[in-house]
Amino acid sequence: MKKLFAISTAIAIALSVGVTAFADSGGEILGVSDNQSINVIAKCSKYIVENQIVYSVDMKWDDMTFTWCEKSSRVWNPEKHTYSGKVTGSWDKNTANIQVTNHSNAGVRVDFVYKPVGSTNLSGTLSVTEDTLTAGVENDYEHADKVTSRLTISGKPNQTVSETGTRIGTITITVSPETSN
Amino acid sequence: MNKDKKSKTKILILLLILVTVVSIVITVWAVFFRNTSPILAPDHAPQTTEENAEKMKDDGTEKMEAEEGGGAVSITYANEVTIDLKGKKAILLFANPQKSIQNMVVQLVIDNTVIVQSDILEPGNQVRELDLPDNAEKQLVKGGYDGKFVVSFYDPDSGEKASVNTEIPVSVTVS
Repeated sequence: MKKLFAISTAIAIALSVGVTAFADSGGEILGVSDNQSINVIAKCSKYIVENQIVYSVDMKWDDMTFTWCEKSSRVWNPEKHTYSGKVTGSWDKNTANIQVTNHSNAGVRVDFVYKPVGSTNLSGTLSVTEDTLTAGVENDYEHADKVTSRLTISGKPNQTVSETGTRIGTITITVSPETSN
Repeated sequence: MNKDKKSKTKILILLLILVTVVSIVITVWAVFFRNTSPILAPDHAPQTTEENAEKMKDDGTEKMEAEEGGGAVSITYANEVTIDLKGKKAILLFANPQKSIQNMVVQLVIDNTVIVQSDILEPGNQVRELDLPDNAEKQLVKGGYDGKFVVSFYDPDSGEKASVNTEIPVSVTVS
């Protein structure tokens, strides 16, 4: 009796369990001999790697030789049989330009410093001591940002400056990234 | 006799004290007051070209123009340098492009001390590494430093140093 009851209960439970079936709304039920296409899809994901900074600057400078020319004139005084003299001096030129052009793909700061050498009684001043040059523009090499500083020499050289030439100073150009101070 | 001996001993002690005092004075001066002047870039170009120089690809760029007696250079560089103490090399990028009309010498300077200096770098050449001198490992320890390139320019014919030079701040990593 118990066995019969158990069997009948098992059958009843089995029959009450539903089988859930999912059906594709547009799909076909394929038989063994049918073909179905499966799409193979490729994707291209683009991302930009930040360009590495390449620093490149051009520098040009004029001839840095300055010549002091002295002219002396003497006038004869017939009444005293003496010469009266006059000495005048001047520079053949007293300026020279230095130009810096930025071809980097980043901005740069340019500093110009003139350092005198020795005791020559001469001084030098620069018209521009600092500037910031913008980065080079793609496909526009000719219009790269540039700066020109003019060195002006003044004073009368003393005896330490020789006829063959004496170094009286140096110009230092410092090029640093635009963000640095 | 005893007096002589005593006086000799006194003289010896005084002499030893004097030597000790002089030694201390020299040591204190050397450690705290000695002025370590930087090695100056040569006024005339070195006689040899840099052995680590690499020929750059010739892009056909024309030479820069400058007035007679003047100069024109182009510099390409990276502002980071690595110093490999074990390998005794400075890893860098410094180029003197073909369009320059001057030779160059580049120094890596930290705290007014020249760590390494190249030989002549002619136009159209670049360096990616320089050999450190023998005592370099005594000057640096591992870590980061603020340094600079000091670049001097030389007439390729006369070897005379130009009145213009360049300084470029760089970050130096010592490993």
